[in-house]
Amino acid sequence: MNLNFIILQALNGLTIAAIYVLLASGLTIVLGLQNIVNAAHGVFYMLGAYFSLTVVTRLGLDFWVSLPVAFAATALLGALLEILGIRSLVRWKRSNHHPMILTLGIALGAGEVVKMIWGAIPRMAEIPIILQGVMAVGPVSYPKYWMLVIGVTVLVMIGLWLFFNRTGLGILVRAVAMNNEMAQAMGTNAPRLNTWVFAFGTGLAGVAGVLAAPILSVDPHMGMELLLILFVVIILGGLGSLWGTVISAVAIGIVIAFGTAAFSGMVAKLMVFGAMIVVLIIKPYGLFATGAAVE
Amino acid sequence: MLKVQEIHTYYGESHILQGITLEVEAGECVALLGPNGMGKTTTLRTIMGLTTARRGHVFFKDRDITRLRPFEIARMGIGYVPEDRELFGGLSVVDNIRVPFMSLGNGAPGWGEVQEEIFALFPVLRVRVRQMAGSLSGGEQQMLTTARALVMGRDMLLVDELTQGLAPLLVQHLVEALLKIKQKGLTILLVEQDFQIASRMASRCYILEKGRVGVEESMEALCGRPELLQQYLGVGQDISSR
Repeated sequence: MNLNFIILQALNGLTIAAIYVLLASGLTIVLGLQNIVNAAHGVFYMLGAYFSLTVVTRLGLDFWVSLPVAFAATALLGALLEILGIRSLVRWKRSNHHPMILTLGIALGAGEVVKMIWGAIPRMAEIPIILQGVMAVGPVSYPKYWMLVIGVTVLVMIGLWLFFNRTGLGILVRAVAMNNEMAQAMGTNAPRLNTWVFAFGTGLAGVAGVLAAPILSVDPHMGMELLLILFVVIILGGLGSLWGTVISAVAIGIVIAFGTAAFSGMVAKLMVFGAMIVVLIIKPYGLFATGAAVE
Repeated sequence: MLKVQEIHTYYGESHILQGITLEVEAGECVALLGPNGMGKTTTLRTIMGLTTARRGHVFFKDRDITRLRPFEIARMGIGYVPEDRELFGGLSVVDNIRVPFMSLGNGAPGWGEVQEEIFALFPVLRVRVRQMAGSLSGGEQQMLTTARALVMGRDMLLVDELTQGLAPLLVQHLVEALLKIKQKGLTILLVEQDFQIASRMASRCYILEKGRVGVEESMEALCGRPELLQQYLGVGQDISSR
């Protein structure tokens, strides 16, 4: 247990956390905004990863181009899901529970469809050539690509902060999250805002998939597996709280990194769930719960 | 400007509005009176589209708005001051005003102009401009929720309880502000518990009784009929209004 080991594992933790943050943000914002649990969030992550595998690798699409393309594609699919599936379902059934079941069904089905098309064998995408190799981070050497993942996530988070706190549209989204009815009475097209935000969340999930493809295993179950941890992240962080999501993702990522290195992956996950139980006993609404608002 | 025709509104199976008909002409201030639970708030909410009438119609500027969504109705120029203020507590004062501003169409006044109009009416809001709306005092919150409604409400204002629970000085301030705006030609439909205030502002009124219009009368005439006031509003003493 020396300094190098600690730095290395901390960086590992941050990389894992980065993927979690990209995914959990979309999930928690939609939850805070619409009170909807999107159990199919992992599907968009998976689609992003397979997109990177097939389209990027096969067609030789430039890595930097693949990010916005994946974003656009998964965002579009997300918008379709929101409009056709969720919006109409909520209006029909007047409850927020049915979309969760619908999306869960989609998640399970999507896994099977992917298995049919690409097979069940786990694969891994290639790291783009310019990003291969290591770089110096303090006293240790760390893969360039993994630093990129952390970097992209930091940029995205800064962008989100600016959006919510410095733009008119961001204020509208927060207003809708606080009081949908009154926001509408003030002229805000809340249903359309919900769709845009949902699509943004799924787009972000797709980007996370592309980024994760060269690091984590790409298989038909990757979405569902991650979903469980994602829920731990957003519950711990407080539903609807972006800050909470970031902090709890980093905490969990670091616990998993150190736990896996010191003991094993399974023990690490047990530690995470154990920590969740403890936190929820003390703070049942999560660390930074703000009610159903997006902060 | 506003025509409500025989609307029936339900909450679940509860038949709250049992055929409300009323009208508000351009430039008028009309009061909607009656004790609690008679359907005054529900009437405003139905007009605003927050609740949809199962039967009947609402017309605004000759357009059928019965089935429109709240934001579409708001964008036609109707502002809404809800009971219980319902501010965006986690947003600052200025951001609360920004929300309706974002949905103003072309040809609307600019941001600077909108702010100036509001601060001219409610100077204290200028001082509190960056403060969280949830941390304002009751009176300041009421001013903010009124100001917010005015941004969208270029043509008409629906006000649900302007002065409930406020100190007399604040009540005075708010009533004067609203009278100032009314002088500029704004149409107002006002729900008020306090008959004194209603009589100062409105020229006509409807008294609701159990989901229907019980009395329709000019304010002058109503003030001269204390037996009606007693019967419908439980108002006893001699009321000299103006």
